[in-house]
Amino acid sequence: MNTLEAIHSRRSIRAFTPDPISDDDLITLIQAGAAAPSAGNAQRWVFIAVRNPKRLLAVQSLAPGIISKPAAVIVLCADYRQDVALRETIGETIGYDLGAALQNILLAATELGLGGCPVGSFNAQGLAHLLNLPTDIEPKLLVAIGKPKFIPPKPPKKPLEDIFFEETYPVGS
Amino acid sequence: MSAEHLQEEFFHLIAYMITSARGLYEEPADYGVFRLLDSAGRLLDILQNQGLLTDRFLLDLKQKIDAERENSMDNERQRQLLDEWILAISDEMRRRLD
Repeated sequence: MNTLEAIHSRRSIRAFTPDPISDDDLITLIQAGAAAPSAGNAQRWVFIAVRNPKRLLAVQSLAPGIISKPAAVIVLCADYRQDVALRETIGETIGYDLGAALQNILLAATELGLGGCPVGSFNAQGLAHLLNLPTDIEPKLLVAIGKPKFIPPKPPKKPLEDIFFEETYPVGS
Repeated sequence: MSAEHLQEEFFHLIAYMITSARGLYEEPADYGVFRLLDSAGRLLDILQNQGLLTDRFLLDLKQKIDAERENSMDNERQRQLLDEWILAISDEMRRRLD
């Protein structure tokens, strides 16, 4: 599968088979996430993978956005340990960095025959406590990962003419 | 089935419901529909896990809810489905009263 095939065949997978994720596949996903670009190559991120069934259940209870039962949840965290004073100002930049890492993880999952769905609905405070995160490591985004129970159809996307313009935005629009 | 296991399952359901309640202050109102539907599904999951789900109507409803939980959210379709289910539930209520 080449990169464009992975990009266009990726779907948001919310229903999973009970198959586990192997150690090798998990490491491949994390390495893909960590290979993403980041502002100044600062890599202000930490990835926590949860596979233990009991802990996974607890994570799910604090993350209503996780539907069905994934084999793993990867918690993408902002790491402010080196930039405590800049926490407020670099927050948005870290969001972009984590977004790139997220997409790398989802594309790698597609390549591996796995699937996932980004999850923004979770209680950050409760999750941080559950996962023993220090105060300067903050959960920002979750990815539920597993073997897809089925591949949903491609969702409608906006036509290019509505979202893409060459050189300048058209006058009068 | 043990009371301890049942309480453990309820513990996680209650945690989910309270977390959902807190999240809905910031999340789109439509999410509330799905959270309630998902809660109903999780409650039925617990009944089934405990070997207590024998009611044919509830078994059928669980199948429908599970299918809906796994699909992408489509508000209009979901609204129609909920209307249909409520009619079926009220029908069942009448049948049980007879």
